[in-house]
Amino acid sequence: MHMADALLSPAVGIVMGAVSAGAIAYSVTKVKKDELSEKKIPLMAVAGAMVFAAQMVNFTIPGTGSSGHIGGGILLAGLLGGTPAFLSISAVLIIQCLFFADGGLLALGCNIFNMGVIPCLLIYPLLFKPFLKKNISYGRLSVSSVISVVASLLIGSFAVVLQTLASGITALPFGLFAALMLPIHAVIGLIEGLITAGILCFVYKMRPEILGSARSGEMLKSDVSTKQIIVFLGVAALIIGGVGALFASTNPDGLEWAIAKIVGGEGLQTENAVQNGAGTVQDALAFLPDYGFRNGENETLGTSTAGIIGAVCTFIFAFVTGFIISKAKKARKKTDDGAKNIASENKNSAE
Amino acid sequence: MKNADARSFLIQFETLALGKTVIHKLHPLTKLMSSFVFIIGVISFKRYDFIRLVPYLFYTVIVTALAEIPYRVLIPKLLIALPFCLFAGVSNLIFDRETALVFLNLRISYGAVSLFTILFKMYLSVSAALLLTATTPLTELSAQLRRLRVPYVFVMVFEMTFRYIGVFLSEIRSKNTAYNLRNGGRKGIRIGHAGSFLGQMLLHGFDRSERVYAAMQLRGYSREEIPIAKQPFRLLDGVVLAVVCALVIVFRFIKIW
Amino acid sequence: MLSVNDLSVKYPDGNRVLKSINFALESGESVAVVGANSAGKTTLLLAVVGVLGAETGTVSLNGLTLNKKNLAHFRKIIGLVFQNPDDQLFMPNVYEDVAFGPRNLKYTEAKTRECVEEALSQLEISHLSSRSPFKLSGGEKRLAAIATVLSMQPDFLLFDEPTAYLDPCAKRNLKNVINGLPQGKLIATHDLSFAAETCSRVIILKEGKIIADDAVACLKDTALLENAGL
Repeated sequence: MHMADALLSPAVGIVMGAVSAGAIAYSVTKVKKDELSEKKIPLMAVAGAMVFAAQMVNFTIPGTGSSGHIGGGILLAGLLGGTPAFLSISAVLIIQCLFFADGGLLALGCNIFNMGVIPCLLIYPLLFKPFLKKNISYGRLSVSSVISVVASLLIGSFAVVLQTLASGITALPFGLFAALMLPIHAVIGLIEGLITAGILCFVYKMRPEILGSARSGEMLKSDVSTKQIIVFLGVAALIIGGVGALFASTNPDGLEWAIAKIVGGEGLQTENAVQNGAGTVQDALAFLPDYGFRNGENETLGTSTAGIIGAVCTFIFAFVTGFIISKAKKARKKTDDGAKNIASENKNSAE
Repeated sequence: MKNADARSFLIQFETLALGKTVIHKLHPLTKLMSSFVFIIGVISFKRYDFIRLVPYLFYTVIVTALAEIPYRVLIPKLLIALPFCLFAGVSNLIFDRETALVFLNLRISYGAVSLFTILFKMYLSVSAALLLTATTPLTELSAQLRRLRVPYVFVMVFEMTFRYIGVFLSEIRSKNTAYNLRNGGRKGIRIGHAGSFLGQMLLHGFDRSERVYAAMQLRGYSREEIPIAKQPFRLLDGVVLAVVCALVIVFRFIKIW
Repeated sequence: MLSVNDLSVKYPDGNRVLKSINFALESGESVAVVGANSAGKTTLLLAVVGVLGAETGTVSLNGLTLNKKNLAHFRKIIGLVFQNPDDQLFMPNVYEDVAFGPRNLKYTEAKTRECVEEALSQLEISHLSSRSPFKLSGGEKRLAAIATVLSMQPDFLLFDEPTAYLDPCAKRNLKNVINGLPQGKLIATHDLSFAAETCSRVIILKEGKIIADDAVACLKDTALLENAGL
């Protein structure tokens, strides 16, 4: 699911980069605020590195001849909590991009969003945690793992579709692209979900307090609830939009119109103006080629795609707003924690 | 990617980054900014702009040469980015059949042009990113990130993740071997064993991270940020950055063919 | 002088791992702590540097008793070398790792460099400076881990199983290195020959208690060793 630079336009790359950078800054302030989770720095690194290495292991499904490997987001979130897991995944994605050519430098923003923000900051608090709110049991843990992983992958792959199409590199019609990506990722998600469930259940059996602390560490502060509602609405909008689009064929007019309306003001347009003179917005935004106009005409679907993009933008906007607010708050308070309580921080690991 | 590949990638990069060429000696900011500007330039071209992209090849080729990076190291990494690009590119071949030009009686469709463009863009952007890491040691890169105000906490996580990837790749490899030796000739690890196979390792990881945290504290780690040393930005660094930016922009907007 | 008085340590699960430990370490003196697995060796070292809190008893350094406020001071004066160098070497290359301590002590970059270079050259591993721990051999990793502690210029060094993961040649080299260090040393090990070659005094631990604190010659007392489970 790693996006490559070659499939992106600068505007999409930069916008997603800004969103992901915002998410990292938000998570860092949140982690810093909480002394306990700052202790998690080595844990974030160790767990992230382990997930990276563990992705090399192929698990086979007996009798089917197929195999799968672990994903990272939900597993890490279950173990560390949402924001620490997000930082950990982000570090892994940056390393994959820089040292393993997996995902591009400009595509980092997209990849961090699709594989970090979605599972750790959206699905984890909204789907995974509510399942385990009352109590943890193997059944609940398994069900919530599978559902969360499938949901993360579906939304993530849908985001890939949107980002690719919005970049205008591929000629794949939107509906077909989505219809190819989503079912594949639903299956992958199922396998990854089962593996994640197996691991989390094992950890819960051996060291129940680990899952407990990840769960409670996140349940702080009263302002979370409003944020959660906004985020929840964003996700719901995305899912509804996505499902609608899955059954739809494309309407390039609609999509084009929506993008022109929403992002047309900045990057795309100005750049093009320099290049070809004004009035070629149409050209710059023609991320579906001309034949597209000849092929699919389904009037109702334009609204569906527009709906999704609207949803994505609303979400981004909400997220940015949330980030600015928390940043402003932080600047005002600037809480300098005093002496730290080392003795209590150190449970042991000796012997 | 396979475990063995990942390990060899890590080792190769660490060896390469210790080189002493002109490129290695450039300020990390110069290299970081040049890579970004270059990649933005590359991907800003439209779908059929294959021809106009060609001058950009000079950048990767010149840098590869100056930095003494062997192609046998770069090419395997390019292949990793290939599948998804190929998927998108080939679909253009199918959907975009109008003839773009006729060359020696060969009809070349718009789809083919866009496929080439995607693959070429892939080569350019992936090489630019790889060249950055192959000529800049991780510590310099992360020092530069901190100078660019990336939070200390995050840079710390980044550096330590990198450090422990090597450790866990080795650990996973021995575990995998141990499993396969007793697996009765079957391939891969059964999914039912995933929980204990990786779970065990995660639990050890938790213990290890506590020891690492103790080791950090024992050497005076506290929540305070430690100021990062400046690295002098020389005239050469500025000139190189300016030239790269200028050329990227010139070839982006001026049609020479 | 580093002294441990009536020290007991209990884990959160209620298991008491150390029971009324008493001993003192003069500056420049080398003492081995030997004992079977889970005799409490590692716990003792961690308690001395305040990673583990004491249930009762105190640790003191030249008359100053360890408490939360002087923790940082204690940890500068007493350096602990972990059993597994991979736990201790957490930075991307050796230089950065050895510089981690001095930087946290708020040394200037020039002073940090001086400390790092001194530590590396003292252990004769200056050539490893820009290498990553990933590629080091077991022996090199061990020396790098010692360097990370030496760069903070401690007066006392604690070693936890320093010979673990080492081949005989690396072990011999380590013996020479340790014998060449002027600091007071507390070396927890179950490698008796190594203890005999590096220390003048031996403390034998059994199930969290000291059963002997004597000159190194006592390692020849087979009955005593068998009693200790060695």
